[in-house]
Parts: sequence; C-alpha cells; structure tokens
Amino acid sequence: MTVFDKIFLRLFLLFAPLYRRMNVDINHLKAILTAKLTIDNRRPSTFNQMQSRQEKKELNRATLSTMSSALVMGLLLLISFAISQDMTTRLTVWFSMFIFILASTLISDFTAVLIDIKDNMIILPKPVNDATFVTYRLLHITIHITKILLPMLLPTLVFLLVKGEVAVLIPFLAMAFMATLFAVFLINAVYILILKITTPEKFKSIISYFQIGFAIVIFGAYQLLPRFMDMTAVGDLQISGLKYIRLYPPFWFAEACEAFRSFSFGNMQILSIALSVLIPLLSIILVIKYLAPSFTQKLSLINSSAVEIKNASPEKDNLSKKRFALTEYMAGKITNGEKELMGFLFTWKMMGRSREFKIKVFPSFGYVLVIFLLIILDQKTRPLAEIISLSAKGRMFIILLIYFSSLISITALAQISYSDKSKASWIFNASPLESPGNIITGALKSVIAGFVFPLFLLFALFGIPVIGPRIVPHLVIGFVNLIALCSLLAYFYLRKLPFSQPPSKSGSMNFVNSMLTLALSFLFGIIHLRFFDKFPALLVMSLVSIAITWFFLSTIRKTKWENVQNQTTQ
Amino acid sequence: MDPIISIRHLNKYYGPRKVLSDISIDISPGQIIGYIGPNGAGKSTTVKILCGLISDFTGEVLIRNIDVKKNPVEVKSLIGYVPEMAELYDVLTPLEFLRFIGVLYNLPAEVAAGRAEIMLDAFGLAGNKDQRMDTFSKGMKQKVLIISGLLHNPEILILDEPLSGLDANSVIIVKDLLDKMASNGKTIFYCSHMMDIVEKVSDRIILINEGKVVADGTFEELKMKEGDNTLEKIFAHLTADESLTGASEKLINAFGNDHGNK
Repeated sequence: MTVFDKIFLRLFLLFAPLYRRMNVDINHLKAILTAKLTIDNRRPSTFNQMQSRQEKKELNRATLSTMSSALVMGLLLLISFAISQDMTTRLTVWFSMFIFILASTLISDFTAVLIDIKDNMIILPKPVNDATFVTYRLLHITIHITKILLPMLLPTLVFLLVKGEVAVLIPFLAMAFMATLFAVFLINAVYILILKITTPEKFKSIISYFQIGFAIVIFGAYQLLPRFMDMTAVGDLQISGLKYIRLYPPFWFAEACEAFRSFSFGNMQILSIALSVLIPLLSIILVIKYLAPSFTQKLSLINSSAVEIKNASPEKDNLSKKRFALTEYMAGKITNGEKELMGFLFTWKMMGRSREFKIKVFPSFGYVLVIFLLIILDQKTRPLAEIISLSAKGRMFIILLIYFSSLISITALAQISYSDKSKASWIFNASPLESPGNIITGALKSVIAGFVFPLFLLFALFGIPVIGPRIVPHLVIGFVNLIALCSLLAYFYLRKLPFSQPPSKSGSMNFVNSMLTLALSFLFGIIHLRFFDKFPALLVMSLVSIAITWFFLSTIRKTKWENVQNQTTQ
Repeated sequence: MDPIISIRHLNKYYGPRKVLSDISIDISPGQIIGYIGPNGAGKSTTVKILCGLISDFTGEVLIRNIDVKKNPVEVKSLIGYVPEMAELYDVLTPLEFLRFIGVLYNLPAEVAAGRAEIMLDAFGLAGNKDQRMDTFSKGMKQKVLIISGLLHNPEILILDEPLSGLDANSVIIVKDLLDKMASNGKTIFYCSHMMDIVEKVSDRIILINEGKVVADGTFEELKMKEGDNTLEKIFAHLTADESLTGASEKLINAFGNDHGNK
C-alpha cells in the first residue's frame, strides 16, 4: 500500500459506524481492502524471486502511474475554460467532460482492477456476509476513484485559484463529488445493462471494446476539439439559454456552482442545487441497495455459466467453420510450406480471438481514422478537391493517408510476440520443429494479410470511384512498400515466436520504436511523393521494395533456435 | 448422533441440464468421505453447494443443523475449503495472504499469524513466507492453499483434489494430517480422481455418476457388493458405458498402419 492508500483507507473507515449499521463486518472490510489495495499496487512479477525482492522498493509504481495519467486528463479538462466567457457554460462543459472521462476510465479499471474473478474463489467461500462484500467492492471502487479524482481536479483547482475564483472552490469541490457519484451510478447502470443482454463470459470482451472506444474518443477529442474551438470561440455561447438543458445532469452541477459563486439563489438555482445533490445520492442508494447485489450475484455465475456455453448453436459453429475454410484456402496460396501455413493460421486465430491483442492494436484503427478525418474535414484547405485533382497538396494528402495507415500494422507487429498465455508456447520448443523461422514468416504474413491488405482494399474501394484509375498504381506501390516496411520491422523486432513472450516484457520502448518506424514509413512516403508522376522511378522503387521483402523474408526464414529469445525454457 | 452434514433430496440444474438428481446423504462427524465420480458427474457442484457458494438448488442441505440456504455465512465459518483450481492473490506473500484469510475467518491477528508461520514451516515454506507467490511452483501454491483451508481449525474440511502438484513427502504429510484430524472428530469431505488414495484414506466412499449416487459404503462393503478388488475397478464397472479396453483399442487403432518411425 502506498501512503495515498493508507490515508484514503483511514478516511473511508471513519464512516465505520454507518457501515456497521448496514450489517458490515468492519474487520473483514478492513482486511479485504488492505489486501486489495496492496494487490493493486503490485504488478504481477514474472521475474525470479531475487528480482521480486528488489521490486518491493518500487511498489508505488502502479498507483503513481495511474495518478499521473489522471493528471494529464485533468489538464485536458482545462479546455472547457477556453470555450466560453460564461461560467455556467464553462462549468457545464467541464462537468460533461469530467463525467465522461471519469466514467470511461473507470469502466476499464473495473474489469482490470476492481472486479477480480478470483474473489469468487477466495472470498466467497469464507464467512463474509453479503453486505460486507458489497461494501468492500464499493469502497475499493471509491478509493480507486479518489486516486484518480484528486490529480484530475488539481489543474482546475489551481486554475480557479489563479483566476481568483475563490468563492467557487468549495461548491465546486462538492459538486465534483456529486458528479463522481453520478458517474459511478452511470457505470453501474451500463454494467447491469451489459450483463442483462449478454453472458458474463462475453462481459469482459464488451468492456474491452469500451476501452478501445474510450482511447479513440480521447485521442480524437484531443486532436479535433481545438480545431472546432476556433469556430465556437467567437460566439459567447450561453448554455443556460438552451431549451432542454435542465434535463442534462452536468448543467445542474454547473448551475449549482455558479449560484454559490454569484450568490444568486433564484428558483431555478435552488432546483439545480437540489437536483445536483439529490439525484446522485438517490442513484447511489439505488446502486447499493438494488443494483450491486444482483450484480455481484451475476458475476459470481461467471464460473458456472461456462458449463452452459458449451451448448452453443451448431449452426453458428458451422458458419464460422465455413468462413475459416476460406481463410485457410487463401492462406495456403500466400504461404510457403506447411510450417509457414501453420504459423499463419495460428497467428490469425490468436489475433482474432485474444482480447489483450485487440485492446492493444484496435485503438490504432481509431487513431488512423481520426487523422484521416483531420485531413479530410479541414475546412481551410478543401482537401477533397485537391485530392481529386491530384494537385501537389492532394498528392501529399494521399501519401499521408497511405503511409500513416502503417501505424496499424506497426502496432500489430509490435504486439504479436506478447500474450498472457505466453507459457503455452512450450509446445513450439517441445515439438520437433527444425527452425522457428517459418513460423515467424507465417506470423508476419498473417499481420500483412490482416492489417495491411484490408486497408488497401478500402483505399481502392473509395479511391477508384473518387479519383479514378490513376490512383491504382500508387496504391499498388504503397502496398508493396508497406509490405517491405513490415518485413524490415519483422527482421529487427520479430525474432520471437508469435505470442510467446509475457506481456510484462513489452514496455516503454514500444512507443519510441513506433515513432521511429513511423518515421521510416514516412521516408518511403517521401520518396514515393518525390517521384509521384515519374513512373519508371516508381517502378524501380517497387522493385527495390520487393527485393527488400524477399531478402528479409528469406533471412527471417533462416532464424535459428539460438536467435529466438525464449521465456519458456527456464 | 446427529449427522454433521445432511443432504436431503438435492436437485440442481444448470439451465435445462440436470447436474444433481435427488441426492440424499448423511455424514457423521469424524468420518473421511471419499467423494468420487467421473468428470462432469456433479462433484464440484455438490462441493459448492455444501460451501454455500450456490444457492439455487432444491432440497435441503444442513450443516450441523444449519440450513446452507438460509445461513450461508455461518456455514462457511464451519468449513475449510480447498478448491480444485488453485486461485490465490499471488502478488501477496504467503504470510500476507494467510493473515488476510485469518481475518475473514474471524481469527485474532496474532493467532492467525502464529498458526500461519507454524504451518508454513511444517510444509517447508518458512524460507518463502515473505516472497510473492507469483514466483511459486504449483506445489508451493497448493501448500498455501491447504493451509488457508486449515487455518481456522474448521469442523469440516472440504478438499477438492488437494494433492495435485504436491511432492511425495507432502502427500504423506497431508494424508497423515487427515487421519489425525478425523480422529479428533473433524469431518473430511475428500474429492479426488486418484482412486488409490481415496481407497486408503476414506472411511466411506460415495460414488456419483450423472448426478446420482451409484455406490455408498466402506471400501470393504463396496468390494463385497461389486465383486471387484480395487476401487479403480469398482469405479470403472459402475461408471463406464463401454469397456475401457475398447477405448484403448480405439486409441491404438487411430494410428492405422503406421507403426512408428523405427
């Protein structure tokens, strides 16, 4: 536990008499929370015992990194103060963003940190009553939220202080607290809804799509909002003038703050204050009394419902079997030999089914999409017209679109070696496989088939009708270049079997590497742009790319066991 | 004497599938019950019901005259449960974990810590008590798991495949321990697939198949009744549809005419 955890735990246990009245066993509660907070701070260490002993000194890392990313989010919230002159409007935007960011952060933390299925096996068989269990979950969540909340509020508090808005500080903090309760209620509602429409088994995958969506929205907001702000900054928007604004919860919090700030308590202000206090309190009581118990009960079914899942519909199985037969056929065409085919299919299935791979890779689709929108929606340059006429600017946009899309395959390549189930790769070592090279080239081809080819299909689908057949050679060259890029990357980074490394080994260097490789991708792009209408030069370029691909593929194919870094042999 | 565990007309469905069908068992204190059956027979479900983890069953389950459905918390405090899937919070150290478990069983902190230290020492884990368990081998984790079930000195010990991953010496320790606990009046409910061990440790063997009790008695009684001389044979005789040699024939025949490389 960190100092923060200890302080928060003390703080929340001040309400012990209240909990006791709810039939909560305080000793149990304290023990579970202490254990859980300790667990939160310790990342599972897969290293040997010597190292783990050293690691104890750096226990605070997980908490600190959560708190610092919350601080970044907090800085993002300051955007709302640039939007309007009107304080109520600013605060409404602030509370909207605040509730959104908090709810989205928590929705992913809930599964990763707060809903531990191990609880079912470890805590439920112990004589812990339901009230204690529910309260533990709620308090664990609350402490976790507080850890995010404080750094998130800090920038705004400093801002308000600097601006001399001292009068609003206390009501603002109170309203932020209420808004937090409201966000928790929202998450619970979403969770209950998801559990209603799906099985607990699929629950985690659905939540992970939320995570992906959140990453994309944050990135998109960060990129796009400043642009749209240029347009709105002029108009001094008054949000209280909107007709149905009173139905919008963030507005209550904002108006309540403003009421205290300007010390004006009209009927409407009183209503907002009442709503902003009552609704969060009522909804949180609803959560504790009705939603949470049924929720934990449902979650505890996660193990037993696995039995039912086996009775899935045979038609669905048949359909996916047919679809897979097609993949297998296509894979046979582009791979060389059975080992490579096996590597391809193995990687293909793992990419499609492993949740952690999707969480890491799918957001890059969103980033690419956001960048595309950024380019295409820019009002000043009228990019579409430029692209259609293939003017100098239009060419640059095309090159940018094509080569920026490599971010997706780069991310996929960077992730392909890592898996939670890395230990299962013993099978490669145990089997009489002469060399791992073919498996790796199979994996590489799988990434190309899954993350490069479909994009170019999309480009063609949109590009040919819009720009005409003139674009085709550029798409072909772009495709060939990106394949060369992937082979080159694979040569440097992919000297490991697919899904054979524990995820803890993928780390901070990934970001730097991605940026470097993205730069490399742009180098291809610049050359492509330089010779945009010199066809013979482009032909030479693609021949060079094909040669690069061939060279690296055959080098990778010769990879020996000694070259493969492996974890499982220890 | 009142039975310590009394199961009456227990039925349990998962969706439309019936997993337990009219099970009635009485168990007296001080017995070691070997609870066996093929995969999917309903062993784990029975265990979870006894532990108060599943409440949507029909029939009555009383643990020392306490209704599991009505008062699961009280029942849980009487039971020490060692589940089959060794789930631990493995970023904790054994001592941290066991102290935590001690509080959940309402043991005073010093009692829990004292017992935990002694028990870890007895299993040869004294040197590892402050190391995180994510570095532990399967056997070491299993030992901690067994200790976590024993820590509060439970009336009833429910063990689901408790010896998995343990080395031969630890197996001897645990088997000895079970005997000693039974002679101290503890009741032990032992689920396992290892027939030779069940045969040796159990005072009474209950065999279930497809959710029904198909045999119940001491090993001697079962031998007399079924006419086989090992539990393995009795088990096969009562639960296998077709002959097991038929199945191994099938496995061998899967190779076809391939007689191997050499």
